[in-house]
Amino acid sequence: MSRFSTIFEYATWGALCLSLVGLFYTPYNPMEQDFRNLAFSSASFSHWFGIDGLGRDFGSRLWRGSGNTAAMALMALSLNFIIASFLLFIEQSGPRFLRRVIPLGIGIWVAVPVLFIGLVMMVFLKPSAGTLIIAVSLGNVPLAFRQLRILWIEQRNALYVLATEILGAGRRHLLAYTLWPNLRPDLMGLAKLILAICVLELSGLAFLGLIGDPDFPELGAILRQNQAYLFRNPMLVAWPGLILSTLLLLVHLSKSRSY
Amino acid sequence: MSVIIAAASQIFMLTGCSRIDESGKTPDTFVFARGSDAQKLDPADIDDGESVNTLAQICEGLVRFKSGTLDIQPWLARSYTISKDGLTYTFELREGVRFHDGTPLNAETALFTFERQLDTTHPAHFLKASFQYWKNLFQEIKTVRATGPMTIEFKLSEPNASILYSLATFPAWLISPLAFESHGEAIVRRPIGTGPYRFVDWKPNQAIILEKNQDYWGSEAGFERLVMRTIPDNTVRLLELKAGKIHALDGLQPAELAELFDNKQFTIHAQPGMNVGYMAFSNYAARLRSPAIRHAIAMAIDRKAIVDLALDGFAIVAEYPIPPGFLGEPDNSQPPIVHDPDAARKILNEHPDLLKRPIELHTFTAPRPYFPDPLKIASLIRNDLENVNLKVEIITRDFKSHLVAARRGNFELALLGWSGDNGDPDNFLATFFASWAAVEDSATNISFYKNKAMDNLLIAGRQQTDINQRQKTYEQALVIWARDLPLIPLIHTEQIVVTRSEVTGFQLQRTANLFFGPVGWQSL
Amino acid sequence: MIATKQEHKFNALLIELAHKGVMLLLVFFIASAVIFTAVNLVPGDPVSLRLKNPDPERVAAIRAELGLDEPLINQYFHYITSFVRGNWGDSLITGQTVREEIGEYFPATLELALLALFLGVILGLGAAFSAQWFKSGLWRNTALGLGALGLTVPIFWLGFLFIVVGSLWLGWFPSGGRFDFTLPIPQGSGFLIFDSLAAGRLDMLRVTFQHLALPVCCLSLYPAALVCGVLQARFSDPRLHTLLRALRAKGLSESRIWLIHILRLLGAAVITVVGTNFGALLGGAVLTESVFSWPGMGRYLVEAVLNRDLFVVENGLLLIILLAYLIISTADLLAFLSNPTVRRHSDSAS
Repeated sequence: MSRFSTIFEYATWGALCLSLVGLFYTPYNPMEQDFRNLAFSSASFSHWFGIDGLGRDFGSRLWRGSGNTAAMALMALSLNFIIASFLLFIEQSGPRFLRRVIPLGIGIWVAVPVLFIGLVMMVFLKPSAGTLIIAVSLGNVPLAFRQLRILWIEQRNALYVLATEILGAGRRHLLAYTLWPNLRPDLMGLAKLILAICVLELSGLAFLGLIGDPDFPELGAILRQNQAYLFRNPMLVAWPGLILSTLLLLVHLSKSRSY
Repeated sequence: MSVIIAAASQIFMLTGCSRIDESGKTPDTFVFARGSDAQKLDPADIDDGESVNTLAQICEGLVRFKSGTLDIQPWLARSYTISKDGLTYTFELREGVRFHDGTPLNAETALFTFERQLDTTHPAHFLKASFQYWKNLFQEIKTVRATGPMTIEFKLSEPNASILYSLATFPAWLISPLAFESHGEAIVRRPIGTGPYRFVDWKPNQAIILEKNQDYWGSEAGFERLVMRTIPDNTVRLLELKAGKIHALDGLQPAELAELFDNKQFTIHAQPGMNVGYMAFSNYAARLRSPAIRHAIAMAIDRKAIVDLALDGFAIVAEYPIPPGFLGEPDNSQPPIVHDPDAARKILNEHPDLLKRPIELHTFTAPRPYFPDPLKIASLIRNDLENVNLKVEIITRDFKSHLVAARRGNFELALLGWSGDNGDPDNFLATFFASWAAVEDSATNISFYKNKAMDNLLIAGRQQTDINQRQKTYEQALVIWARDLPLIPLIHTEQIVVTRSEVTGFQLQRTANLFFGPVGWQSL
Repeated sequence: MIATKQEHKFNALLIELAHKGVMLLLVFFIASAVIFTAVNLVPGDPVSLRLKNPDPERVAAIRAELGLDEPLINQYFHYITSFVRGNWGDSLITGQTVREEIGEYFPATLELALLALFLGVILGLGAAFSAQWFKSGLWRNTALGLGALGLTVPIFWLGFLFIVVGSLWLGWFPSGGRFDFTLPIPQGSGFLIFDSLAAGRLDMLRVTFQHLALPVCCLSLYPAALVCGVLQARFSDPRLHTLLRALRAKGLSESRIWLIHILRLLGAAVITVVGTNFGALLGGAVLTESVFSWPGMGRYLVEAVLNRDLFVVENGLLLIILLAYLIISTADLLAFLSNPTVRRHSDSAS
């Protein structure tokens, strides 16, 4: 239903923007443990989500956390697409030798689970948000590469493209007016998929404790820090999970095709 | 959709019904769950708590600590004598004791345990085993031999008052030589001891199954079988306890215990452990070398808040680098470090160069017995230091990588800790402050603190046999520590074990060993 | 002589197989080199890091015994030759042979992953097909939403939810582990389902399934989401509808169309997406194993990396990568077999 899907699409953009706002503004400082004496108190008028176990306003942590999750996932997605497109570009227009080697490398790369890449990177580099972003984006490059390649080859060799070429369209025109509009919906679909995977993997790795700063507000890391409070104040665990799920659900439900 | 499910589950969790078996029958299997599996079952080559606690049901030593204390009582040896010069220890073995494979306990069979650690050419001196405790605790033992059918004698090269205590610890627990003859290196996975339970099977990362030793020389074990299960996730372990599937557990975070406090079905056993968690200054970090700065930093940290917020009260503030009640603890009531952020700020304001770069505080992710949540503790410390106008950067690594940096002194501030082995102050103070413990890549003196006066005191303390002399020696060592402050002791974490309230006879030990031999069941 | 279509297909298959075989060798060498380099670049010595209070002399003796003092090139050759021979060394932590330990943990993960994969594919197919059947938008979106659960909800959070609902609240399922200890564990292959059946013990089988239920459901949602997504994309492709019209015009019955033609077409897509994401499934398995205390390879390897258990990491990781590669190649081959046109459009990445 295109009516619903456009609503969802707007809602998704809205949710992402709202999360990103959390990077710049939150009602309280999400890192300051100002309310230690109020720790674990539940929702109140001045603290909509209560206080967490270390005396910080939980709502601010959640907001900043969503912002960080969204920002990190978007960065991982961009890095991922950039690397995959770059590899694809080399493979398509580079020398013969690279055309054999790159698919070879991808073939090996695809067999390594992201989790292990993250683990190994953590042992080498300092565990930090940046390391996680790199690990997650690199880990998903084979997936992006394969899908982009399929899309590109399908479209590039389509009849209407060849026809446009024969009609004398230049390379730029081909790219901008013929290929891009048809690639865009599929690219958006792929982007959504990879964004979802990135968010989940980032939270998963943060949950396993691979993020450097213990207080870094990221939804998976918050979940990990609050897991110990599951019985004392279950909302401390429920909210990060709910926000994550809602964000991803919105992303998923927003359609990108126009038919 | 997921929102609805989640909300529903939260409601159900809060009203959750647990499934305790209320039939009142004594179960014939006692199930204990911990967060990770044992690594090996060779008493001479382990050092993780899970392996030790598994062997605690299977093996016994010549002597042991009286339950709940650090006093020695004869056990497999029915009596012992120490020569006047402190160089000869003689043990008379108890009659009528058999190992689980039927081997009788006598001088010859008892020697096996010690000879294999002492003699590097012994066939059971496995080349890949570290035997680190022998080197660490028993290095003064020169020879061990049988001087009668039921008598063995240890000769030391130098007097060491703590040897008797060390003989009560796990590296000295006796295992059967016949087992080695029959199974060779496999004894590492199939221990044969003399204890109240015998080994049956080991399903790696799932459970170790033990059964009652019918021929036990002491009082009979309370259950037919004892299963030690591995449940890595704390929340799940707690759920199993509440569901009645397990009878006892350990390794929970203090925060997770809150809802068991008022629950009559469970008993929380907690007592301060023989450990200390501390923050060390590295001698290689030039800008933090001055004792004035170190004292200022020590005054800035609110250790009470760490106990309350990071450990929910299940710890005590550590005034000294040794646990309370240890020999050498000064009896004056004036603690060497007080919490005074204003004084700290004043001192630190005179050192503006400290603000040029943030100070690096190194911590790690995995829970340890002395720091159940090292990340949270680092976080609280950072807050405290920022309160006195310092800038702190927390560097987190996995535990082993952290250990690499620590053992090289590659840090400015680092969190670490130590669990005691034998109840002797030397086991803490020499570990932390002796210059011979400051060797790169194997250091336990991670501050790389080297002080001749301290070294002399530590050597003297080891060799003196008179208890009052040792008390004075260690008091003096602590004075030097308080002056130079190579590390700031933070907390002594409590050991926490939760059992069903029907469980009787369970007592926490100072050594943190868990003994289930005396444990029984009494319906409520 | 002109080759028949069957022979063409057979030849193409042989070429593919040969291609994959060469790739497998390449994967072996490159992966082992990368792992070996990584393991040796990491600072710190695994032997002394194991110990609370290491004695430098003893550590040096143990290192010599393990061959860690030899030049790196020798160590690398020893590593790959002993891997191939099946001599995978001993764990530094437990002293058991890596082979024995993997033999314990691997069937556990395989049982979990395969069942989850199977269930996931069925769930994904179900969600996608029912979305096609429902005409109303609300039901369609619900089916698709449920189908996408694996990509919207973090697996560790979901695991807790399952435990709370299935174990604490309903009490139908245990909250973790692979088996109960009130019954003796079925011995044999390590796959408890087969072993219980072989022993003829239905009570063991029941306990096995009880323990498998929650983790399998939890893990299956991820492949379900992938399958549902890829099928949904295919269903939205107008060419599919054109094909449907053509087949209907040809006079074939609905069931014949769906079960034979469409299934074959979609089968390739499903196999490819599932095979390609096997690595991610393993990642999900690690998290699932953590939450459900499942004694599997995922947790085993993660702990080995964190504990610097040298030989486990070297051989275990290599094994996993080779296995993942084999599975992906098999998926590619199956896709190729069921629909040769896939070859032209898919990448030649493997």
